[in-house]
Amino acid sequence: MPDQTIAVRQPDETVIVKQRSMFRQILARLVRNRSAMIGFCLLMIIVVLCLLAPVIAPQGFNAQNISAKFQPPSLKYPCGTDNLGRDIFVRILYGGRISLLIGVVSTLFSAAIGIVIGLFAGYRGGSTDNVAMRIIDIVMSIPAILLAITIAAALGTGVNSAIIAIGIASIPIFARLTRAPIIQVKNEEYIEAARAISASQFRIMFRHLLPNILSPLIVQITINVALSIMLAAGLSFLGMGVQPPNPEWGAIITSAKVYIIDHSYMVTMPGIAMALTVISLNLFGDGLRDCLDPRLKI
Amino acid sequence: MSNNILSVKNLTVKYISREIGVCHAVNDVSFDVQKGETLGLVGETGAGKTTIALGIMRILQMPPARVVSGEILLDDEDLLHVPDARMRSIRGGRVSMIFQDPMTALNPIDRIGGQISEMVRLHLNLDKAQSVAKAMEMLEMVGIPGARFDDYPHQFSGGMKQRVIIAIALACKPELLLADEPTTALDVTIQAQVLNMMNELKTDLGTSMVLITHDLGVVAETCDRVAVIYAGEIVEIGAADAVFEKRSHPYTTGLFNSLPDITGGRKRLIPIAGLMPDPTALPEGCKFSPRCHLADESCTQGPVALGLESGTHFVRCLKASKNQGV
Amino acid sequence: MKAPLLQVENLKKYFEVPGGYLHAVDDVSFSIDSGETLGVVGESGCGKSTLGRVVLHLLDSTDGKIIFEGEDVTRVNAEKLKELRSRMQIIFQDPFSSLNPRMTVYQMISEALLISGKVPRGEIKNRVLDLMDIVGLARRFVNTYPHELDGGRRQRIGIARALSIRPDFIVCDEPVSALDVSIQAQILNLLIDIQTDTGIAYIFITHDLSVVKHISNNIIVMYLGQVVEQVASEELFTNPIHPYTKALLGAVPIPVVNYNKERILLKGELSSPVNPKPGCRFAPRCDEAQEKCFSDEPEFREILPGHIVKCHFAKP
Repeated sequence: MPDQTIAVRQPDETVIVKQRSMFRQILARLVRNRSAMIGFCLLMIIVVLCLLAPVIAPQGFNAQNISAKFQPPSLKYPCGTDNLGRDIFVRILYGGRISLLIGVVSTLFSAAIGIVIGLFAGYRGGSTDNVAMRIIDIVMSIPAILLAITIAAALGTGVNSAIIAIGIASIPIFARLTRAPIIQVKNEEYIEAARAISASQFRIMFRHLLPNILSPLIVQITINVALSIMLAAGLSFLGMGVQPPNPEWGAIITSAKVYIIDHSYMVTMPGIAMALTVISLNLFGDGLRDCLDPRLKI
Repeated sequence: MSNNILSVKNLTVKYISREIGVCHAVNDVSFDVQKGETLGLVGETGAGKTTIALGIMRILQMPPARVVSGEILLDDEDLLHVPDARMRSIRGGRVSMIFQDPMTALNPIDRIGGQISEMVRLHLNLDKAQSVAKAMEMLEMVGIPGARFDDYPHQFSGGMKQRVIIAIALACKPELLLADEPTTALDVTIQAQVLNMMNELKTDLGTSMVLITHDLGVVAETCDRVAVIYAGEIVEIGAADAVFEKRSHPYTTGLFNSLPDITGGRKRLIPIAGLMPDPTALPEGCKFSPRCHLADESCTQGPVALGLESGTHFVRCLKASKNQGV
Repeated sequence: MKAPLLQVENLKKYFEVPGGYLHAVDDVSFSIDSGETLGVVGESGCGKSTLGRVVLHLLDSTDGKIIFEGEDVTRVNAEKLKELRSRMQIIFQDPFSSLNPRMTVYQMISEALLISGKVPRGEIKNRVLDLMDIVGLARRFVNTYPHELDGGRRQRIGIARALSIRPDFIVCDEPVSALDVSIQAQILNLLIDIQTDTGIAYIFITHDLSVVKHISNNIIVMYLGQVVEQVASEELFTNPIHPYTKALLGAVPIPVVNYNKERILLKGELSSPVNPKPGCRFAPRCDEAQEKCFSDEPEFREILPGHIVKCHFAKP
C-alpha cells in the first residue's frame, strides 16, 4: 500500500504529512504468527487451484467418460471418478470456485449491512437501538440453516439466491458484534471532542467509531466465510441451493450420496476439500485475532 | 543494635523484555527506615517508586522484572533470600502494602467483613469467632461503623474503601506499612480525613511506614524523612524539613518551582525543561544533567555519588553548593 | 457597559435515574468576559464536569439560559449551533481517552478545520504546523499516533485541537490533573500564554485549589450541583466565608513542613445528589449547621461587594 504523501515547504524545514498506516505493522506481526501463516498458505493453495481450474482441466467439469466410471482415487484420477465417469478432482476445483464465491460475497453482503445496522443502533441508542436490535433478535432466534432454507425457497434456487439467503442469515452476528463495542467506545472523550468540533454523525460513526472497533470484525469476516461455505453446502445438500450438475461442493456430495456405501470416496473427497478450506480460514482468523489484539502494541 | 526496621542496600531492578530491551527501573537505591518513622518516597511517574515497594514485598512480575543486586533487610533478615513460604507469612504479617486504587483492590463479590476476617484468620491463626471480632474491631478503628460489616464493596464510597484497605493492611499489626499513593484517588477533604487517620494510627500502633507519593504537600504533612527519586535513583535524601527548606538538588528545586503556590501571590511557574529520560537509555553521569541548568561537562563524566550536605541530608549532585534554589 | 462574552443564568441539568432525578447542576449562574478565566472548583460528583458540557451544549440543559454574545444557546437551531460550536471548545482531563488512537496528530488537529470549512484546504497544513508551534509540539510528531507520545505531549495535541478553529472560549476540564507536576507547570504556562496572546476566555474546571488559584480571575465553588461561594480568586483564598470553602482550603496539603494552618476536618462524605433533601445541601457535614439549615434552602447573598455566598450564617 503506497503511502499518501504531501510535502509542505517551510522556511526552516520540510515537513512531510503522510498517511502512516498501521497495516504494515500488523502484517509484519501476521507473518510471524505460525497458525495464521499455515492457514494462509493452505488457503492460497486452495484458492489458486480453484482459480486455475480452467487451465488445469480445460475439458470442463462436465466431461464424461462412461467407460471410466466409479474409478477409485489413483494417480490419474486423484479423487476418483463418479457414476458418469467425471473426474471428481476437476469437479471439486470448479465447485470450489462457486463455494468460495458464495462464501466471500455473502459474507461481504452481510458484513456491510450488519455493520451499518450495528453502528446506527449502538451510536444512536434509544428507540433506534431498540427497534433494530429486536428485529435482529427475531432473525437470530431462527436457526441460520432454517432461515436460509426459507429465504432460498422464496427466492428460488441458484447461486444468487444462495448468496442472499446465507448473507441475510449472518447479518445478526455482524450487527451484534458492531454494536457492543460501539456502546463502550462512544462514551470515550475523543468522541465527545469530535462532537465539540461539530463533526457530523456520519463522520463520527465511520471516521471515529468504526476504525476503533474494526479488529474483531475483521476476524469475524474470515471465520464467517468458512461458515457461509458450510451453510451453502448444507443448502445444496438439501436441494435448495446450487443445483447439480453445477459442481458446488454441497451439490457434489448430494449427487454422490446414493453411492456412499460402495464408493465412499465420492462423498469424502469433496468433504475433505471443504474441511481443509474451513480449517485454513479458521486458522487464519485465529492468528489474525492475535495480531489485531489492541493490548499488543501496534 | 540498629534502630532500623528496614534497610534497603544497593537495590537494582531491571525490566528485561525482548521488545523494549533493558529498562533500568531502580538503580542502586539504598535507604533505611527507622522504627516508628515515616519515610516518603517522592518522584514523578516512572521514577521507579512503585518498583521499589513491589521489590520489598517481593511481588514484582518476574519476568520481565529482575532484581539484579542488592539486599532488603527486615531486621537483619534478607527478604530477597528467604524461602517463599516464609515470605508469605511476612507479607501481610510483618509488612503490609496499601495500593493506590481503592476501587480495584477489594474483591467486589465478597463482603467487607469477610475480606478482613479472612486475612486475620490466615495470619494470626484465630478461629472464626475471634477473627470476626478482630475484623469488627479493625473496621471501627478506621472509623467505619461495625454495622457495615456485611456490606459489599460497591456500597462504599472511595474514601470508605480506602479505609477498609487500610484496616486490612493494619489488621495483623504490621511493623512496616508500604503505602503506594494511598490518597491520590481521593478528594481533598476525604484525603485530609484519611491522612489524619493514618497519622493517628501510626502513632498509636508504632508502625513504621514508607509512603510513596508524587504530592509534596502530603509528604510535608506525614513524613519524618524524605527521599526524592529521579530516574530510578535517590537524588536527595534527608529529614523532611531539611530537604524541603534547602532543596539542594536541582531536581527537587524544579519540583517545588513547578507547583502553583496556594499560600502566596501568583507568579509564573518555572517548569523543569525537557522530559524524564527513557529508562532504557539513561544518560551518562548525572541522570538529571540533560535537564539541569547548572550542569556542565563534569556532570556527564561518570556516575555521581550521594554527597553529604549536612547531618543526615545527602544529595547526589556535583553543583549542589551552587544551587540557590532558583 | 459591554455585555459579557458568556452569561449563564439559573442553569439546571437533571438526569433521570431510577427513583428520581439526579441534580447534577442546580441553579448555577455566572458570566465571563473575554480574556478572563473562571475557575470552577469542587470535589468529584459536584457537577462541575457536567456544567462544562452543558455550557458547550454537549448535553442538553434542563432549564436556564446560556447567553453567548447576546444569543441564547439553548434555543438555537442546528445550523446556528454548528456556528456557535466553532467558537467554543473543550480540553479534556485524560490525555489518553481524549485522543482517537487510530488518528495521527495531523489528522486530529486538522479535523476541526476541515469540518468548519473556514480555512481553504490548501492552507490547512500550514495552520496545523503553526498550531503545533504554538502549543510547543515539535513538527516531527506530525505523523505520530497518540500512543507513541507521553501525557504532556498528548495534552498539547488536545490544546492544539481546541485552538484550531480560534474559539472565543474554551472549557478546560481538569486539563492538568493527569500530569506530573513538572509537565503540569508547562501546560499551565502554555494556557496562560495563549490567553495573553489571543484574549481567549477559559472555564477552568478542577479539583486542585492551588491550580485554580494560579490561573483564575474569578472562582465558583460547587457542592452537590450548587454554587456555594462565588468571588474573585484572591479574595477566596484570603477570606473564604462558606464553611465548605473553609474546609476545602484547610484540607489542601501544603508543601511546607510544620506549616501551621487552620484545619477543619469534615465529617462524613458527600450525600446523594438524587432527590436532594430540602435545606442547605452541605448541612449534614457542616459544624455550624443549625435547625434552619436543614429546613430552608439558603439564598445567594452578596456578603461583600462581589462576594456571593449561599449560607444562612455567612458574615463578612
